Amino acid sequence: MRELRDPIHGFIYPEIVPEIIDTPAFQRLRSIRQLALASLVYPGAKHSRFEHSLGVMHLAGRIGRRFKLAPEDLRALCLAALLHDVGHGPFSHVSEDIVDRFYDKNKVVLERGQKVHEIITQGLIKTDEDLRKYLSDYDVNRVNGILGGTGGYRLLSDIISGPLDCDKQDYLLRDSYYCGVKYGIYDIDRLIDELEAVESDGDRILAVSRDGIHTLEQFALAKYYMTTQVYKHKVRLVTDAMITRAIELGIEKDRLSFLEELYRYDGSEDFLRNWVKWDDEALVAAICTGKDRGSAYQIFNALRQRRLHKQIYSQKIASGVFKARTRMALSENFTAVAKYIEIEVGRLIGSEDPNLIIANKFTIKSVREQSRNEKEAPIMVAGPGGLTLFEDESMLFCSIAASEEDEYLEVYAPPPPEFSDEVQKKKLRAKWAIEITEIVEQIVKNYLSNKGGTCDDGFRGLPGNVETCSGNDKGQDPGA
Amino acid sequence: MLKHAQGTIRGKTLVHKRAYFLNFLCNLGLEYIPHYYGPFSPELEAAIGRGRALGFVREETVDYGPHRQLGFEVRRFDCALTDDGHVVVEDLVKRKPEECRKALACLDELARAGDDSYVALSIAAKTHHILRTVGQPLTRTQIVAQASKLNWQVSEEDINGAVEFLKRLELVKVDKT
Repeated sequence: MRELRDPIHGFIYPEIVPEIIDTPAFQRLRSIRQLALASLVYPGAKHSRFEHSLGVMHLAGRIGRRFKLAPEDLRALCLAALLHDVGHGPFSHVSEDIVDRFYDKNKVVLERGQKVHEIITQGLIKTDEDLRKYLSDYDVNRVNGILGGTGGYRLLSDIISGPLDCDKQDYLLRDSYYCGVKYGIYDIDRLIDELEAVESDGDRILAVSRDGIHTLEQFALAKYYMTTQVYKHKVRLVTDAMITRAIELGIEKDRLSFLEELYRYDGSEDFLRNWVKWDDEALVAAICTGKDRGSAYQIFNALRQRRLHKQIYSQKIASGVFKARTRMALSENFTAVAKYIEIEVGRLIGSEDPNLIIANKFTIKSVREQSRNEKEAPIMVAGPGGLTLFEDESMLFCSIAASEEDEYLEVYAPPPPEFSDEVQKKKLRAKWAIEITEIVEQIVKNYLSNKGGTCDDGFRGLPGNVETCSGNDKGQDPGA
Repeated sequence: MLKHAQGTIRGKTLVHKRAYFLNFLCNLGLEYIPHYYGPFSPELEAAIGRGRALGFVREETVDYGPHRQLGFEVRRFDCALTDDGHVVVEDLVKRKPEECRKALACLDELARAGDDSYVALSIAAKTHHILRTVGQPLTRTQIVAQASKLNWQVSEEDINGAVEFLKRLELVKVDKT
C-alpha cells in the first residue's frame, strides 16, 4: 500500500482512490502555499495546500473509522476531505476575495451565503477530466453534497466543515509546526477519541463527549492564539493586502488580460480549465517576467524583495475614537468609503501614487467566539441528559461573559523615509493617528450626507478632487 | 427590536425568539437551523455580537443565585441599547423609514399576540419550525413526536398554547376535522 510520511500525523495511507493524488488538479496544490506569503514573517511557513489536504483526509478517515461508517460513506468522506481545497487559487484565500469581487455578475447568480470559490471547487470536482477518471457521478454528487452542506449528509459535513472539523484539526497543528510557534498545539488524539456521532432529527451530528471538554477548550484556545499571532499577524495582513491590491490593479489599471481571465468567473468549464493551470509560482512569474511593468509588477517585485508596506494607522473601530455613526458606517459600508480614505491619506502623507495606499478592515473574534464561526452552529456536548452547549459546559468558556469581536481599521503604505528613524517614526505615527481619524470621520460624514438619506447606492462626491472610485475592499465594488 | 422595547429586552432568548417571528412576518430572509434550544440563526447571533462590539448594545447580567437542583448559578442576559445605540437606531429610522415602520408594525403585531414569555415564544418557534419543515398539516401528537426527534422536549399542552399564539399571528390554520 502506498504510504506518505507526514511531519504532523506520521504515515498517511491514501487507501481510497490514491490515483487522485497524482492528478494535475491535485498536484497543483503543491504550489499553492497554505498561508500565502506568511513566510515573510515566519520563514518556515512554506507548506502547501497539498500536504494539508492529505492531512485532512487522514483525520477524516480516522474519525470515519471510529464511527464505523459504512464503506460508501467512508469513501465519500475521505474524497471530500482530500478534495475540499482543490479549487483554491493562487495564494489561497487572497484569490477567494478577488474572485468573489470580479466574477461575472450577469452570468453567475449566487445563492444567499454562497461564495464563488466554493462553486469553483464543486465545479472542478464535477468537470475536471483527470479527476473524473476516478470519480463516478455518484461520487461527485456525494462529495459536493458533503462540501456544500446539502444532500442530507450532516455528520459527514460536520466532519469536513463544522466547528470541530478535521480541516481546523489539521491546519492548527500544521501551521503551528511550519511557522515554528506553539500556539496551535492541542491534544488531537484525545479530541478524536472524544468525538461522538449523536442522533438528532433522524440524522447524526458531530458532538464531543463531556470527557472531551478540556481538550476542546485547548482546541478553541489554539484557534484563538493562531488567529491573533499568525493568521492576523500585522505583517501577514500587509502582505495579503499587497497581493490583493497588486492583482486588483493588474486587472483594473494595468489591464492584464490573463488576470482578468483568471478571476472573472463566468460559470463556464473554460474558466475551470484555465483556473487549474495557475498557482502561486505561475502567477508571480507571469506578473514579474511579463512585458508590462505596471502597478502589479511594482507591488509583486516589492514583495519578492520584502520591501513591504508599513502599517501607518491602526484603530479599533469600536473604540471611543470614532463617533457612533462613523462606527456603524465603517462596519456596514466600509467598501463604499475605503477608496476615499486611501486617496485622502495618500494626500496627507504625500504619496506619489494613491493606489499604493491600502485601507483594510478586519475582524478578530473573542476567544469565546473562536469555538465556532459565523456559518457554523455551536459546538454540542453529548451527555447523559442529552445535548448541551459547549459554552455552557466549559468552566473556562462560560466564565468569559463577553462574546464579542473586534473590528479594526488599518492603513498600509510604502514606508516614508522618516520611518527609518524610530523616533521620527513614532512621532509621525502619533501625528497621523489623529489626522487620519479626522479624515475618516469627515469622509464618513460626507458619505452619509451625500447619500440623501440612503446608505446603499454608492458615493456621490467628496470635497476635493476625487475622480475615481475603484475600491480596495473585499466585498462589493462601488466603482463597478 | 430594542427600540420597540423601549431600549431593553430582558433575556437574550427573548431577543432570539422575537427575531424568529419578526423574520417571518417581515420576510427578513434569515436562515434558521434547528438547534437543541430551538430554531437558531447564526447570522442573528453574529449581528448581536457585532452590535455589542461596536458599543451599540450592552449586555447586562442579572444573577438569580444558585439553582437548588442543578447547583449552578442562574443568570439572565438582558440586552440594552447604549446611548450610541440610540443614535444609530434613530439614524437608521431616518435612512430607512419604510423598513423601520414595517418592522415596528410587525413587532406591534407580535406584542398583541402576546410575546412576553420567552418560554412560550420558544415553544411557538419550535412548533412553527416543525410545521414549516414538514410542509404538511400535523396533529399535536405528531408535532410532539417531530420535536422529540430534534431533542426538543415539548408536551401536547405546550403545543396548544403555541398554536393559539401562531393562530393570532395567522401563521397557522387549525383544521378540526
